[in-house]
Amino acid sequence: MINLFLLLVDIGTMYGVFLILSASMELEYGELGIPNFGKVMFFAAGAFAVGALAVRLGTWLAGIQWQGEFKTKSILYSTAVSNYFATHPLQALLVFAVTLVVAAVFGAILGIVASYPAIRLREDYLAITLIAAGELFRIFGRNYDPFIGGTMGVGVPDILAWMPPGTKEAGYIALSLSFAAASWLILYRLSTSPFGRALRAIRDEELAAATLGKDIVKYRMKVLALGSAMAAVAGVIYAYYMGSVLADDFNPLKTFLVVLMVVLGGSGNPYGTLVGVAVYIFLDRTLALLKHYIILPFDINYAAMLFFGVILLLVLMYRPEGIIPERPLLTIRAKFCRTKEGKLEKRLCK
Amino acid sequence: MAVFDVENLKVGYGKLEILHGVTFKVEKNELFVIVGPNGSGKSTLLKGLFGLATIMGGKILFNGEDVTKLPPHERSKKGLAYHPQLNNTFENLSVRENILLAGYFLDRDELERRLEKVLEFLPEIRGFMDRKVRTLSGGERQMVAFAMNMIKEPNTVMFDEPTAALSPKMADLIFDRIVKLKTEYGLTVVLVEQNAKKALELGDRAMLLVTGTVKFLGPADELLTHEDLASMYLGLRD
Amino acid sequence: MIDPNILLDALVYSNMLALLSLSLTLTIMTLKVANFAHGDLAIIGVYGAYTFIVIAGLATYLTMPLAFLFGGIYAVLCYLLIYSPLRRRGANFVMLMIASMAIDIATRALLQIYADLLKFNFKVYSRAFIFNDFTANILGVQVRGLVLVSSLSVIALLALLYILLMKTKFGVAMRAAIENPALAEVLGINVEKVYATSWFLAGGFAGIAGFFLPFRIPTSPDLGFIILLPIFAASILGGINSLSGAVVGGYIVGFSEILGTYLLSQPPINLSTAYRPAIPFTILIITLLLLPQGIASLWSRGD
Repeated sequence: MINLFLLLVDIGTMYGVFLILSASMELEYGELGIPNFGKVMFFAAGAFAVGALAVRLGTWLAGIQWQGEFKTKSILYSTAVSNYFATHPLQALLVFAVTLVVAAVFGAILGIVASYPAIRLREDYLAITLIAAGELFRIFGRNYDPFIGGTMGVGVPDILAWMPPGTKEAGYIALSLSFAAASWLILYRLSTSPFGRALRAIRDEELAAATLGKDIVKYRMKVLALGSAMAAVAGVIYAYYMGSVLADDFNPLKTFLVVLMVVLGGSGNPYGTLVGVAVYIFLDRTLALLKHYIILPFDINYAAMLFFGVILLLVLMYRPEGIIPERPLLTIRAKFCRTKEGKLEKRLCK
Repeated sequence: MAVFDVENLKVGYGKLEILHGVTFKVEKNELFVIVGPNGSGKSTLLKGLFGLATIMGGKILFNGEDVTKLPPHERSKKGLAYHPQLNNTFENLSVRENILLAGYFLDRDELERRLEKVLEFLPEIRGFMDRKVRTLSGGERQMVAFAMNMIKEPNTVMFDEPTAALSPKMADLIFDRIVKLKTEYGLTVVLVEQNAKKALELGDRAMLLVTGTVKFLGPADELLTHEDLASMYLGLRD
Repeated sequence: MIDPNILLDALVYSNMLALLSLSLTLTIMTLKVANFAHGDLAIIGVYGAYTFIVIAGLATYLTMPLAFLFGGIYAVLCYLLIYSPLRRRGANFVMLMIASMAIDIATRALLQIYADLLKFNFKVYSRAFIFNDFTANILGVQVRGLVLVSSLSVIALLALLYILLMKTKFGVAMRAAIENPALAEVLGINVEKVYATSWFLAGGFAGIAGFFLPFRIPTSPDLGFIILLPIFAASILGGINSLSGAVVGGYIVGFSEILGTYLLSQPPINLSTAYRPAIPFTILIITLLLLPQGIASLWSRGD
């Protein structure tokens, strides 16, 4: 029996996490034209920051003496810290705030570092560079035990442990969706502002934008810093929600899924991300449900991967503009007016 | 029967229409000159005739046959040759390899026979047969491109500004050979030229294109001496 | 003193990498975009061969041509069914790149499913499988068969490719279609056919390289993605548009990776061999920043 409440919590929280990631990808790729194929690295940056810091900070605040290896004991101590947080909400929020800030700053710094190759390299070289960097980051997390527990993973204390039972899960949804809403609004505001117009100008005609006095290097650096900080925040929420961080979870498949959502929804249009993430989560959950009813001679997870790969190819081939296509940006408010045939259409009226 | 019988032809790229319905005929063994200001659609017309641009309407009869929908290599097989303005040779291949490619579908003996004939027509090429094209001058490259077309022994050749950016001496040489195609080999030539005066002097009939429409169609010398058109669009004054 | 076996292993690995970087370069020359599914072609090849070994009972080395065939056919299908139609529909550079990423995901999923089915239907190992090798006695020295076979394969395939490209009419047409497809089209060359042939050859070369994998390491469907980084590093080091550069790049990256990993894992550094991808990554970064035209620019002008 599937618990409907928990299913909804899961869907809501994951929608938020993926919406933040998609919004950051949309900002970089849809608006500026840099496909950040290393997205998972920045996502991991946030999650790893939580993995490395939350339980340590928690034990320090709770005054718990750490005994034994980090690798083997982190799960145990994170439970102890969760119990402490159950009666100390302020300390819990403090840990959340500190890890959030550290993660966002870490993400932004990584983004600025990544902007160095991003400005200079052809897109495909950049992609392999970022994929490889993300993989090395994952390998580091997996092999250097004191960082985030290596192959065992690391426990993350429950920062909402102080909430009454039953409301805690809703708390995670609220947390995830409020950060997602903030990210999406940032994307929306930016894309409909002169800044967004400048980004599209750079995306479509780099040279022309440069001759119009746009400092391309600075724009790209800012966007990558912002986008990467957003991805790191998504990692923070993901880590707290999951209650643990495992390095191998942060593989390039995550990047692929975010690319899928952005392209599916319609790159170049902020509304596209809202739809793209929703469609993905719907498909993913449907496939997960099917697992209970269908018996196949192979692992259905692979069928899901194949399905998503084929979906992306079909979208690229038959509807490259996505579900909600990009529209010419209007920073002046458009009105509904009648076309010659008498149909209502939203556009600038003559 | 006319070599080209073009009716209300509309040509463009993607969704952009550049030629808005042109109608004309090119007769056998004539030198048909197309002139007009920049951006009037001269090159686009040639590309349309050869199948390299999108045909958006109208009809092209080539030697009485409807070729409107044929791909370039099919038109090539019917004896039509096209000499593009730029990128008309392979930079990284030798001159010999370039010409070999032009005669890709010929057997070895036939290729040798035709190569001899082409070298008679363009003897200058003998001097640089085994050099890579990227080491050649602009005029030499035009000659290679010329030879590549001749190896196919076409019945109709379309030139797109073959003398652009060439020295006057080299340009005269190319013009001389183009005229020979008509007079000595009996071919039909369609010539798009920036150098309107020279081209109209050589041509039999001419067409003036302005922003994708035909402004004049008739004897070349008539256009050359036409008071308004010649001065307004071609910058020719006497 | 480095163990001679490690040098031989580096040679084998580099032979494999040279074929892969050469074939990746060939596809980049026709598509103009790097194919992120290139490593998967090698795995397609080796699974094809493996299937015939365990089901039809063929001798291991006899299935090499099958690896070529499977890699080649899959590559042609990718080109004809996806890349070429996408390009005809006006897909831009980044869209082609995203498509290749999608192909990689789908291909690996297909291979995983295939591995599951292979195991389910025939009760054989379908993941982490290895090939047994023979040992040859050359002048009193025992040498692994793979050392000889892989080296000879590289020499033979390179010679064949050279003859094809430089000495045959079709090869001239291939070079022409790569340099200027529009003009080749004008001359009546079927560019699509020429490109599809390039993809078949590239897939075949990758398949042969994949065939060498299980002699060295246990082979599984995801291996294609793992070897992608060294392949790219080799191809970019070679200058992306140079076939000879790609081969040289393959040997530089291959030897650096094997010897570097070995040396770094020894005392006093004792670094985990898991950090092995750091070596091709470093080569990639250094090349892109210091010598973006690749090493081929040191000796030729892109041919």
